[in-house]
Amino acid sequence: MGALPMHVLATEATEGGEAVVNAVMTADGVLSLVWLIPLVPLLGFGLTLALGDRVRHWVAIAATTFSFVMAVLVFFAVQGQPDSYVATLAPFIEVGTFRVEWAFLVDQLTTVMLLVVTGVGLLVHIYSIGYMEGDSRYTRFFAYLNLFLAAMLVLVTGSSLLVLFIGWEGVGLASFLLIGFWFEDAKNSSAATKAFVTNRVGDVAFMIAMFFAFSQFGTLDFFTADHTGILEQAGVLSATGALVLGLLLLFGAAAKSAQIPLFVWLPDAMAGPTPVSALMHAATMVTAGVYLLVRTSPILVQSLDAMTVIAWVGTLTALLAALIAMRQDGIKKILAYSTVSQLGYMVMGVGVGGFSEGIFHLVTHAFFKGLLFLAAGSVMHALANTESVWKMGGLRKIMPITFWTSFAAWLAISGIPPFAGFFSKDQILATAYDHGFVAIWVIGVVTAALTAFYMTRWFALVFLGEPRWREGQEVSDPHGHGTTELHPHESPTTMTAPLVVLGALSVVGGGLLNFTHGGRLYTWLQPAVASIADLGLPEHGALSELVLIIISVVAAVIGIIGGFMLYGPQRDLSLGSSAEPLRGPAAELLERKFFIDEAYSAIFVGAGGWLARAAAWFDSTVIDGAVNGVAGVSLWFGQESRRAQTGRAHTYLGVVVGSVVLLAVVLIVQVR
Amino acid sequence: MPIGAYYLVAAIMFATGLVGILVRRNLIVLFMCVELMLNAVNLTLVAASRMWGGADGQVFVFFVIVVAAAEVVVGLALIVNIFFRRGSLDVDAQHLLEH
Repeated sequence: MGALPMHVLATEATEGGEAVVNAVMTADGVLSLVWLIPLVPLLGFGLTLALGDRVRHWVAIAATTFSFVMAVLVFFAVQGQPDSYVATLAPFIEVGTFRVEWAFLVDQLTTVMLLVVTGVGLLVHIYSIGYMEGDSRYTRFFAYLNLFLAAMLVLVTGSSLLVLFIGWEGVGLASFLLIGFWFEDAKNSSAATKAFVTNRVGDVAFMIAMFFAFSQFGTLDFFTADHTGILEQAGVLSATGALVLGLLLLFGAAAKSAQIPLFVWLPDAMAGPTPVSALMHAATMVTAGVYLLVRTSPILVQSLDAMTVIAWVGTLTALLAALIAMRQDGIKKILAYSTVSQLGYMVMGVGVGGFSEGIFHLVTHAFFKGLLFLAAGSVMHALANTESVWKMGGLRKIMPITFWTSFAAWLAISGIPPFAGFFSKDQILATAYDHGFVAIWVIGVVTAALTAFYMTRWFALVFLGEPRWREGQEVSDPHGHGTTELHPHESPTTMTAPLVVLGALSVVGGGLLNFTHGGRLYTWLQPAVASIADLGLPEHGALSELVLIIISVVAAVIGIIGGFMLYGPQRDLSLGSSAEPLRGPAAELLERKFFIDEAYSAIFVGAGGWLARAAAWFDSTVIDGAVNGVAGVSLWFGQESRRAQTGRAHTYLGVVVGSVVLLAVVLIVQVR
Repeated sequence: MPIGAYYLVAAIMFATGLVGILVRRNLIVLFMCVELMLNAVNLTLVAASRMWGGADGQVFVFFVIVVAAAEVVVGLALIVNIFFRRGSLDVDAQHLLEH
């Protein structure tokens, strides 16, 4: 890397002892080509749409493979010389002092996101070959997947808030297209609309955040040549300014990452094809909000209040979603609420000052939650798109690969060592405890037990016990026509291979990346995120890390044992959902999701409807009245004045002569 | 002869033509009235030119005569056509401009 160091980003890792500092460099070599990573999938999207069924999945998979290889090359380039690199492609907007360029930023954080997005993206592309087989819009599906990848890669590489926002909107569009992929069913397209509209609410906050950032810093770039990027001069913000900007960014992130109060779209987004749920609504797109918060961490650390709010939003989301997940019946619905809950953990991690821990959980979550969704897809594929877990069971022998990979993911998300989720979740909880957020830590541990409980319920109901379906049984296929006979079978290799890869990562990924608190991934990310030294948080709590680990594991084991006691294979569940052991008003409340959808529908849809009707009345009476009034007056005037036009030449001539005479008289009088 | 006399004659000719146009309805008569008005103007131009000793007024008159000749050609052709089409030269008989 022969580039000149231009300026220094003041991020120092104090916990690791010596200071680690990232210099900001102009990218060269492979790093100057980083813009190819999003561009090639975009071209893949265009080509696949243009060529249609002649190319099927090949162009899309080639483009994704290219991006993945590029991501690996970029990773090694950054590893060789760890710094922040900015690759400027072309000017984008220049208005007065406002300047935005198509510029891409690569640092340690970006490389992690690039690898996760392209890696999981590639696996999901391969999986989709088997899953989408026979769909009438097979090729279009791959085109949309590539569109999503392109937008997501712009999001994680954008070097200014605006370029990031382009990717942010792009993934929203791709999400809309893919949730509503089977738009023949009105339920699916309304789920797509719900996701789109809910995200728009957060986008408004994001845009206001951009306006505010521009008013404070005079630029939207993260880093600039003269040290005036928003991340470099975050310290100039007043306390109120930092709080406002932090909360605006949180609200924007809350929409994309499904946090309170904007999480309602994510469970409905499961209407899309399952590979979409795995790629976008579990592994990558929904983590964009977490990425945004970590990327702007130098701003967040200016305000402890903002950080505290972020931590509590994440914590309450994690708890609320875990409670709801306990009583859901759809195989994907449970996983969807689980995703909301795990995203809550990530946001909690960011809020308590564990930026690297949040990203670590993002990575392991991409492994095990991506895997769980793909496994759910595999199960649904085998059972003619059955969704209720109460109509499953006993699939262990029939689908061994799906079973064993799900087994790994189940232990990973439950937080059993040495599986991936244990390390990341425990490190977030330990950070919360050490930094003095004891209440958040307690709720986090309770949520961990609930997580283990509902995932055990999911796992036991799907794979263990006696089958609650019969071979050859007639079921109605929600995506097909009429009925199909059930012949459960293991899925084809294109589907099981990604499962195995993700399964291996779910087992070893956590330990390899960050075995101890402050491990390899932590050290890697530390130069790219803000230092929390100035926040004045305590560094260690009363309990040692080992005690914390034991408490977490005990919570997880309690959850698993509870789950097995209620839903294990020893229980007679042959009656299906009427055998549900958890009953009573509290369980009902969970099943109905705390009536949040109903409340939102009453408050926002109701108030919105009232407002729309009022506006419609105003429009039709006042506005239209004014417009029609003007037209009416003109019409009347025209009707009256047309009488002057007789059509007789003599009349006109008389008027002309009369006028001339009149003018002459006036002139003569005036001259006198 | 004083210039006033020429002007008086011209004014009478012009007024005659104007009144003719306003009151008569036959196209040919109207045409003749237009010629009358044109020549009234010609007369004033020549008289003024003679009085001020300049040549431009007379040049103007030649132009007017040429244009008037061309106008007569076109006008008479129109009149002949209108007569063949409508069988009448009454300008008020059909309200051609009304609708």
